[in-house]
Amino acid sequence: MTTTGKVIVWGVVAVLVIWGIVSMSKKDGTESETIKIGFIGPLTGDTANIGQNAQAAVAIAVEEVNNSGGVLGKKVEVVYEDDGCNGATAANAVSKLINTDKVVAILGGACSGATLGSAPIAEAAKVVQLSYCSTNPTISSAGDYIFRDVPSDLFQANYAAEYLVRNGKTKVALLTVKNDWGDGLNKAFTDALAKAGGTIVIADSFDPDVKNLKAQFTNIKAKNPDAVYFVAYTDASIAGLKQASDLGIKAQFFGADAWDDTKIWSELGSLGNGAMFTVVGTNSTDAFKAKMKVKLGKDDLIYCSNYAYDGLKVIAEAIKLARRATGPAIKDALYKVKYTGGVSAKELMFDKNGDPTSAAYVIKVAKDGKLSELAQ
Amino acid sequence: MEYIFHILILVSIYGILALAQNLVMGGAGLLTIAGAAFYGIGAYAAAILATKFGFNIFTTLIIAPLVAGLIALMVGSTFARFRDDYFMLATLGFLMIFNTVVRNWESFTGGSYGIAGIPKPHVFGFVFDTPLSFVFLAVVVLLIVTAITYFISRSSFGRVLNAIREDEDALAIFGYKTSTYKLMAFSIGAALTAWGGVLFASYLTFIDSRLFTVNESILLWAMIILGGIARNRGALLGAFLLITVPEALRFIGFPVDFAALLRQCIYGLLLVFLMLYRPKGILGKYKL
Amino acid sequence: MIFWQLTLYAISVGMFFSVLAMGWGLILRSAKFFNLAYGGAFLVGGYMMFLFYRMWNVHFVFSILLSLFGSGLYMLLSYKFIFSVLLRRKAKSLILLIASFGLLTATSAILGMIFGNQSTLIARHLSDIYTVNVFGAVLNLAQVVAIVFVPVLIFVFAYIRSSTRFGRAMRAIEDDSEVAELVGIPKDKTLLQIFFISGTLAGLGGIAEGFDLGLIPTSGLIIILPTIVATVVGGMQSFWGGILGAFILAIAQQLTIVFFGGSWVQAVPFVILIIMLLLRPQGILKR
Repeated sequence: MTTTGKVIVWGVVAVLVIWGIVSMSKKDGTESETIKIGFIGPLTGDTANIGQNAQAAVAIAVEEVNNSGGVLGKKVEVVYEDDGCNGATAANAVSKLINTDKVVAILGGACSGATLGSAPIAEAAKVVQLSYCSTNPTISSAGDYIFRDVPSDLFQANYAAEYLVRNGKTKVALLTVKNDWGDGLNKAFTDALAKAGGTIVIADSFDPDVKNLKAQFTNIKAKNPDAVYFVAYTDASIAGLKQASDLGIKAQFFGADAWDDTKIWSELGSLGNGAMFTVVGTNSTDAFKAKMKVKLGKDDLIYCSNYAYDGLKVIAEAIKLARRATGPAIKDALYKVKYTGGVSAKELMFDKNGDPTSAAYVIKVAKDGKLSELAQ
Repeated sequence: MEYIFHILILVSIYGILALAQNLVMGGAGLLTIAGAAFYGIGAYAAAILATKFGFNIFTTLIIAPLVAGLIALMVGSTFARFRDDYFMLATLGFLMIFNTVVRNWESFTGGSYGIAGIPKPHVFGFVFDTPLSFVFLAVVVLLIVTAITYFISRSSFGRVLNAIREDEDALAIFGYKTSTYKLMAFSIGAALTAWGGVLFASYLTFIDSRLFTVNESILLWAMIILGGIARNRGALLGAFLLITVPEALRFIGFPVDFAALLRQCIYGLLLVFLMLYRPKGILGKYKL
Repeated sequence: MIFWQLTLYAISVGMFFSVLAMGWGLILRSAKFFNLAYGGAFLVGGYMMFLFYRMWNVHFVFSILLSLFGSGLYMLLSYKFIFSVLLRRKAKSLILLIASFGLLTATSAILGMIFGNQSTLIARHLSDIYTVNVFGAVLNLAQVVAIVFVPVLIFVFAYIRSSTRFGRAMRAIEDDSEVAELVGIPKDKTLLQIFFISGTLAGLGGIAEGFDLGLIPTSGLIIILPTIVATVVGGMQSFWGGILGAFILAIAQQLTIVFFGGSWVQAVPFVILIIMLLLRPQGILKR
């Protein structure tokens, strides 16, 4: 082995050893004095803003709970882990939280893939996992210990389908991104539209890194639909809506919650006029917004953060109700809890799937680069 | 401590992958990008057998290499006539097609949802569910793979492979059926790679198609080349360095989104400088 | 109607990949390696255009010239400091390939740090790229420019290649660089020029992508794979091969979307590639 090689190897070994000592020395004490709750969310990568925003909201909720006396006479402590918005990293993070930190409940993840990937671990370990941002319908059946306070995409798809049919747009084209979120909405919308009395005239999908949807829109145009349900993230939405406008498709464009991003509409300007989408309503207060601003140093509140804040509060509530901080007890209590006065919804209760019993949506419509809520 | 176990498990898994692919790339001199595909085939075979048919992961450790080896045999015999760059392109094509099929075949592979809830291995009532126990399992498999690759590289089969790498035409003149030897190396490499996939699937309990892309194959290349191509020790060192060094960078303390890009940048420049100043890698004997 | 619209789209996509395949093929045939850093020049051109034209409001023509010069310079410097060193050492093509991949990775990462991971669009207002009706089908300005301008570019190149001093030097190096050197062709200088020109062609592709769809830092790798496939399918040793391959690829992609759906489109270039390699490994067109 050369000298350079040796230096590198020994450097790495030194780092690992120091690390090991540091992490072992941290483990002593404090075990029973606090109630530990885990948090997972994307703290790195291109969706990091969602995770970091939610982390701030949870931190606020923890301070509030502890300032008002904690839970069962103990302080609540949250351990934050990065899930990188993917199932593999999330599974890793959750097993670390359960095995090493001995958390009694986990908040997260934000991305549906992260939640689905990690849920089986929480379920097997009998630890409650409550997602604040994952809307994929399959999470409903992910397990007894898996909850979420944000409504399933089924509600969103239903709401969109019913709105379209009510307004006479019965022939709908469907174009969705090929990932867990897009596929989930695709199925939910197909069912909901059939139930509402509409028909899908054409359905197609596209890979997440693809932005050239010209051929898809040409096919859609030929079917002459009343509306296009177009489920995409920011990049493909900008390119796709421009391509649709080039082709002169006159149908009503309808999207999902990812369209609640000002970048799409400021880039498109007048080309985005009339496009609509559903987004989960919140019950956010000015006081909460002000606290978030202090925490983050800027005015930025992503809607999931409202749900993350309420998620921590509702777990605390359930622990109080159960009078014990163990997984099964918290799970049973969550099915009974009725939480009011939150910043996400006025009232939060869970159904037998661990989904919220009610969901409030608003429809937003774009005009000249600006969004406004549609009066219902 | 758990974190160090986690790193050890990853190093073992990538050590297995790098050793196995080194047999193909270093041993037989076949430029393959299909590494990630066989890694994925191993992982999916284990995941599907375990979640849909209730197989024990230990059983899949036997079945998955057979599946991967058979597929490699079919693919390899189709690609047998290609050499060098052409072989690389063909294997790239195989990987891309594998990825697309996995993403679209929802009833079988879970499609874009991936497969969640893959069980941990269990034997005689003992479940490998703690990180420490999994470290032992991964290290044992790594040792087995190391033993196999050392045995192969010292055997007459390994010597013929090396000779093919140096001068295939000359060997063909001596009457060796070089294509059969290459096909064997490709299939054995694929079968051993599948072991890495099985361990990975069972360790993470979740897989989807995004884990097995070109980037993963190129990471394996980088490991093999960094350590020193055609050296088993080199493949192990490469896997160790390329897993631990980026993890260490995580703790230097850059803003989070910046850190990932910085890692990528350093990794890219490392490849450039390595090619410029030490193309045979840290432990290499054989010059590329 | 659909047919005509899709045909026009296929032509415009074919034009886009023709330019990329033409530039990439230049390096492949003269320096004899798979240069993935070509994707880096693609990104440099596109992002420079964004910087000049959209951020700093420089005039369109100046922005284009500056960006093309920038992407050419990127390629030239990469030759000067990396590839020429390796070529002089007679390194195997694998080493050059890995070095170029490293350069592409580093370039994408640096551009990502500067411009962010989200899509970057060059057009100041998307509505500026207005549409034109072409016998019942619709094309936007960028596509019309591509369909009109790229054939001119291709024929200019074909002329330069066949009838100028530089073109002859280029062809001599492609045939046999050692013999070329013996008969007094300045190999190093010609290769510098080839890398520069190749870089400007990649930059042109980047600019077009930035206007049409938007750039992300990983676009470089995403775009280089179909470019390679187009060149190999059409015939690596032939100037016209890459162009032919580009159109085959464009048509196949459109057909896949129409008949199988958009989620299969990623696999198409590679299915064609494997079939082609099995049937006719030297590509459709020979030298």
